[in-house]
Amino acid sequence: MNSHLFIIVFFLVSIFSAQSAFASGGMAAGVGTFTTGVSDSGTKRYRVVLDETGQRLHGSVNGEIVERITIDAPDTDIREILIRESKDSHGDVSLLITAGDEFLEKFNQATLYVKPAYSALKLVERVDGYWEQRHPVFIPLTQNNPDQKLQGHIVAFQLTSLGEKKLVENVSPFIEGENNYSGISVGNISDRNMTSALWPWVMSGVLLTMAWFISHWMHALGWRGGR
Amino acid sequence: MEWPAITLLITQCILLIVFCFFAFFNYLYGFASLWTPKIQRVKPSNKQVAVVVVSFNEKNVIEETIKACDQLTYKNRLIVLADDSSDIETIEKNRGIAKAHGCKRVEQHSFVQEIIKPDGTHYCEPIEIWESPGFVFFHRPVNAGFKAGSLKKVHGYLKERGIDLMYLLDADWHPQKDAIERTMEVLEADKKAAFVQTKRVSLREGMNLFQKYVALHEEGCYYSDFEGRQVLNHPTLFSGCCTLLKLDVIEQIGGFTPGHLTEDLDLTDRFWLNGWKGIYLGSVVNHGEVPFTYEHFRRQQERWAAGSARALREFFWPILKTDQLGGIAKLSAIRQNAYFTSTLFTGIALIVGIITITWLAANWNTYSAEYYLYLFSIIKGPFLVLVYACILANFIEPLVMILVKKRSYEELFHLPMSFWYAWGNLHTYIAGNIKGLFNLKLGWFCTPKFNRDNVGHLPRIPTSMRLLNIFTFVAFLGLYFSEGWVFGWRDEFALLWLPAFLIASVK
Repeated sequence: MNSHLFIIVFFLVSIFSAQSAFASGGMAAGVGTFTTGVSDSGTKRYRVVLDETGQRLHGSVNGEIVERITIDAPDTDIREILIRESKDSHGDVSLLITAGDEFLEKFNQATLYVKPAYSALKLVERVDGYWEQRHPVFIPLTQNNPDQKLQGHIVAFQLTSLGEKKLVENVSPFIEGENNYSGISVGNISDRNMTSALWPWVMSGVLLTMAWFISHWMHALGWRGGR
Repeated sequence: MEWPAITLLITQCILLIVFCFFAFFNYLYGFASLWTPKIQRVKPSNKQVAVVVVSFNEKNVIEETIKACDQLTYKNRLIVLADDSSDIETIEKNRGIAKAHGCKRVEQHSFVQEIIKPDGTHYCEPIEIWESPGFVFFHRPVNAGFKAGSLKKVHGYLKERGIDLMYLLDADWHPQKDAIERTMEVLEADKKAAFVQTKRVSLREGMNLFQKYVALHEEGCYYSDFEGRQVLNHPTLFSGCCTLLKLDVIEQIGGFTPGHLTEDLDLTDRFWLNGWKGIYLGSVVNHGEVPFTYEHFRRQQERWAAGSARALREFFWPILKTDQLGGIAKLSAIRQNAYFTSTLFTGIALIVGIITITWLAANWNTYSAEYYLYLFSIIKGPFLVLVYACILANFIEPLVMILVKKRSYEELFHLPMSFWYAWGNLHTYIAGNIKGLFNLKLGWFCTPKFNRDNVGHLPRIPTSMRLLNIFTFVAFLGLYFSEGWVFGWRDEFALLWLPAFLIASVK
């Protein structure tokens, strides 16, 4: 068989086989480990490119939660920040806004615009180790037409810092408990961490036990042989 | 401070590219093996062939192997028992076999072994030779240079007798009755062929369970990899035994290298670099043994890893520069030499993974960590496709063997345990690679051979190695627990490493 032709055919076929391999999820790695948060599926990250208008920087996020951000950070050349959005099963939202060190030094304040679906939630912001509530401002949206018809609204929060924010239904655990509230997870706001922590132990133990028993059982049954 | 994030991600991408290189050939040859190779044949000549059985203190199996050689149907053969045994009982047994074949001791001959004393001085001692028309017992006083040292001497002896062809067997391998005719008709059909490699498998009946696990690893390549290479006419490996070799070609390329831990790969590389090729003939089947215990398997793998790493060190650039091989053939040859070195990259990938997790935890909620995770989120889809494709590539050889070639579906149930056993040897593979790459001393390990019905006491792995495995197991427990606790991630790689090192800790 012509080996070059074969390799071309092989490549085409392997594209499909690789996809099915991914779909099956795989069980483990013979190639090492890439512990890079492959299970971090409840979280999304966005790179926000900032434009300058007057004294303020602003950028669109196009995220699930955050719509837009404007920042007052004069005299900085940095034109990008990162926003992380996480949602837990209760509907509470965790946001993380980060930027380079130089940007943080110049930062004064920011306005965060979230989508209307989250207008019922309250924002708490961690400032100097304390959680502080920020009250929402509802901004009506109109269309440029003769009737100036109301199209809906977005919700804005004034922020005094970047870093971690939470959009929650009930702020009392944060405000009343003050610093007793330590947060539940650095990754996702949920209490599933013990489950996640024990998952590798339990699953490994279950798999090993099953494989061991089945293998020994097959061996005890005796070999039926092959071709 | 984006550079730590970029450095970590680039390192991981480079590692993934390396793994993709190995995975590509696994898929390629596994897929190609579904076709039947076209092999030219001619009517074999009646040249004399030496059937050389190399042995070292293998008293339990040698008698049966010689019996199997006696049953070879090729008439013009000379069975040579090339023995380096130091055990008096074994030597006597081998002398008895020689006598039973009508051999008389040859007192006057020129074959001596040069022996180095502990003080560095040399002296020569005659090699013990017994001869009959169809059998030779060739006993070196000392196992210097290991198997290749023995073969070097035997080569000289056969040359003096005018024998150009050698069918090589290890002490426990029983050839198919017509193996010589079948391999000769292939070897003589291709003037550029220096050897014909045949299939090596173990009979499952009477095996202990651990041997079944090992067999899945060590035999898959003969059903998948070797077949695929032959279909594509890619460089074929001489795997150390069950091979018909042209002795004049071996002499031409410098002969066997005494002391090499993988003399087969060393010789194969020189065949390739000198424009010679090998042919794989999977229709000829030889039966032998795989290691009986985890400790024997571990030491065998260490030797193979060290020898392969040495070959990689010595032949990487010559293979890249040679004009005797085409582009894809060069990559295939490098992949063969680097086959065990992939485990070293696995170790590096683990360390990089641990560093990444630690760094992320230490820098959590900072721009640097978020930058890394943002970059990873961009490449996550194709990255994971490739990772899982590489994972699956490890299973290609045994799966082709079980599902397509043998259709021995029961063996599927042994596959998970088989892989955990192999992966639990990671430290051994890494140590072997380091010894080979940096030319550190490693003694020969001759895998002990037993009669299956008379195995006796079998060793466990050394306490120091078990302690290292226990430490690694506990470290992995902590790592994967922390990953879930700190980040909320469920790392599926735990399903590989935790069982593997738990097994390696208790064996």
